[in-house]
Amino acid sequence: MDRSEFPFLGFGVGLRRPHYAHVLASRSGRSHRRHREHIRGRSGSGGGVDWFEIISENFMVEGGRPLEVLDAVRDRYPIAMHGVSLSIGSTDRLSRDYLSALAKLAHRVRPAWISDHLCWTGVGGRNLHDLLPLPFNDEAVAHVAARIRRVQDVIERRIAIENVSSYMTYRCSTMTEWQFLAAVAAEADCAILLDINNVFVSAFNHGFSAEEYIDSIPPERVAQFHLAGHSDRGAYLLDSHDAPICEEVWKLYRRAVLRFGSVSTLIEWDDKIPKFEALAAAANRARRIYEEIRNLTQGRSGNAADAERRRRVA
Amino acid sequence: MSAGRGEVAANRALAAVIRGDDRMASADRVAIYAGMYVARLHEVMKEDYPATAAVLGQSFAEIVREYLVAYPPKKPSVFFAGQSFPAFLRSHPICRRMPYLADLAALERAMVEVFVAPDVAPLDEAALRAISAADWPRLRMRTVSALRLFEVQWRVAALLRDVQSGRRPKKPRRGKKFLLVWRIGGRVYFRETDAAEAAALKLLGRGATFDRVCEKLAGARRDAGSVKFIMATLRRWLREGVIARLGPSPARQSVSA
Repeated sequence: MDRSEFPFLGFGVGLRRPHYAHVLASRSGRSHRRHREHIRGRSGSGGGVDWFEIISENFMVEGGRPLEVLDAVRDRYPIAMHGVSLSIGSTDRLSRDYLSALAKLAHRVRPAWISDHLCWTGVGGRNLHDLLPLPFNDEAVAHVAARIRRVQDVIERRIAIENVSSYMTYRCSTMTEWQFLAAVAAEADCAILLDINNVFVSAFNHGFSAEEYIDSIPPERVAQFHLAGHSDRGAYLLDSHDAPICEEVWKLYRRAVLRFGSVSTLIEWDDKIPKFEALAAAANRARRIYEEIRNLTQGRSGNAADAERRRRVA
Repeated sequence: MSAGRGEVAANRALAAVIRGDDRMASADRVAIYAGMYVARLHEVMKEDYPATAAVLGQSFAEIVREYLVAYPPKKPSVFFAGQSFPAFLRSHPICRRMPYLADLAALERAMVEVFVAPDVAPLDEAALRAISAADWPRLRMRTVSALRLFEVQWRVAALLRDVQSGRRPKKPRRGKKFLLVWRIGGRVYFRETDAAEAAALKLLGRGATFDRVCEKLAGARRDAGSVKFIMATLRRWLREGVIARLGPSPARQSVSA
């Protein structure tokens, strides 16, 4: 897979309603042409964020304030579209209406890329508005990969699929989650949005090694990282996106940067949303980790440095 | 006893599909998703119906739970999850005690819908003045897309204003009225109106000619005051932004041939 379809955008945050005014008032935005140069030529940790990710469904509307804000943000920052309702793993037919709304929004936004989750969100015509896990077996790989290929045909571009946090697994699974994720991405020829927090949460909930997960994902498929906070519910961890990123997840992120190199990184925060500065601070912490690791291979070109990193962790 | 047996059977069925372990049984793992389903949609409903939630207090959560059983979400966006809540409330027993609740929910739903309705620029007075007097009677105007007009039996607009201003909501008075909800830019407005203005706005919405809209506004009145009233209403509509901007050649496009 050619990773140039998923350019390195730097360090971004999810665009959420409480921050609309702040983002629009901020002067750190820049034209797209200058943006790439800005990322390439960055010498230290900057104050702002480099890009935004939107929840696609929040903007699949006819008009009003959400689209007005989106257009204004789009003029100043690169945007990626991240969906929550594609329901790529469901046995219901793919919704033509949904796909056409997605294509219409993509036409308006011209996103850097489009992503959704490796899960199912409903069945029998009902929508659960949740990201439910799939069984990890060959039948599911074939089923999901065929549907991803169909989506990619309709929207005429490669998409990235994200690993979800989960609280249950199926008895009919015959492989690990990371084997399943890699197999689906290979079979569908799509990219992977690797959510580091989701790896950590699921590793705790199901008792597997988060490090083994990270080390088993094919680097050439990874297009984006997600970082988020979770909450400890005693018997399990909940992917609540309502807290700061914990130290263990940062540690895992460091491992991921070492393995995967220059991958656009995004901070998600969806509940008890703090001031924008808290999200920007998290994005800048990710930036510092990335730069620290990049300095290990200073003097080489970006691609050579990435190749070196991969050799080091192989 | 039979409920207990049912639960045991359900847990067995779940255990045959979902893995459990020492830490959590398969049913407990599924229960995490069940709990999140209700919690997430409860949050969505609270955001869409803040005044209804405030009036209902603690019963809101239970009524939302009943609503989700009656009207499970079927569309990919949570925007539609609460779409049928006003209709659900209308036949819910709670409306015997709080008969105004369905009207209040209908007002809040209209505000949610208007917030993301298509953008249509409103007509300004200068554009209207540019139309020759001879063309006025057969001029066809339209209301903006971000507008809803509906009848209510209770004066719930005042109740909503109470909640929005942080005042303790008072039980609304009974009274048949029409509610007009519309958006200008990113802000949603609402106000009460009477049957004559509502009928005129409905005609306007259907693209009727200006003379018919005026007739409806004047109603039974045929005195000099009716002209004054029509002009005042038209000015108000222009000020409020409820009439859509005409096309590039207003006279040619908006007046029927």
